[in-house]
Amino acid sequence: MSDANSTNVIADYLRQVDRALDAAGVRDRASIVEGLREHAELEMSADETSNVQSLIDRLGRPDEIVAAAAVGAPDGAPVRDWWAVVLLFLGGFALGVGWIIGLALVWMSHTWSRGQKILATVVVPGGLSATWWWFLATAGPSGCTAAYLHGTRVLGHCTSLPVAEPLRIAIGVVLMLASLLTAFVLSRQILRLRMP
Amino acid sequence: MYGVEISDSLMSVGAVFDRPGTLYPLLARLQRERLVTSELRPSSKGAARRYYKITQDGLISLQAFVARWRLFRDAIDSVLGEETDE
Repeated sequence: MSDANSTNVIADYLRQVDRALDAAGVRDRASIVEGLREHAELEMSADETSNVQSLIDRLGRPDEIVAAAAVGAPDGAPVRDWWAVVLLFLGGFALGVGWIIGLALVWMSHTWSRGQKILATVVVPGGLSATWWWFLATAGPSGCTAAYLHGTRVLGHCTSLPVAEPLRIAIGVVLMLASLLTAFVLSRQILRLRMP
Repeated sequence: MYGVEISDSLMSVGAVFDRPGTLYPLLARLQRERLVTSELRPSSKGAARRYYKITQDGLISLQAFVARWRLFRDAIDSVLGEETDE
């Protein structure tokens, strides 16, 4: 078989694999097809007398490649990972305990990389509640004499930090956006892993 | 190691890989889970090759898997050994 013919046969095979992966909704299909292309080209260049059809048969039929892509793919998002994100974002309001539990769940999970786990730890401790505490801590004296949580008085008196109003608001917004960013990054990773 | 090398290595030790092409979905998932990274490097022998390397998280996962596998293997060997004795 001529080189041009071999190239066409391989290209046709890769198109079939790509269509099969696309039909199955496999998100890694570009990476898989590229790997197969490289494998086929390397084997053909290493042995020019090799029969291209035999090579393709050895690589695997498109349905076999799709089946391999489905192996080990999770059936759905583990509830525990989603609870970790929710607790990390909102659990700080439960006297901080919820955030700690959420953080523990993040570190115990295999869903996130070490970098993502470190992000969850430092951005922002307490999650969204950090914004609430910031505004509380920097409120004027009149806003700090009593604080209530779900109708229960939790603070009788506090000393507010002297912060100019524009800076107070800016920091509050940054804290809130940082918490949202962390929740977004963690959630995106769950969704990425749960789609084949 | 690049894809063909990995495939040949697995075939040579009799690993269950009857179709070398089925390696690539696995490599793609390992990359997505950040257990493996890859890098395209030019080759003096032809087209550029993609080299794969295990990450630190990958090593940790591998260690955990090896520990679980040994427990499982020993448990099965124990059961089979008991059945043979009977």
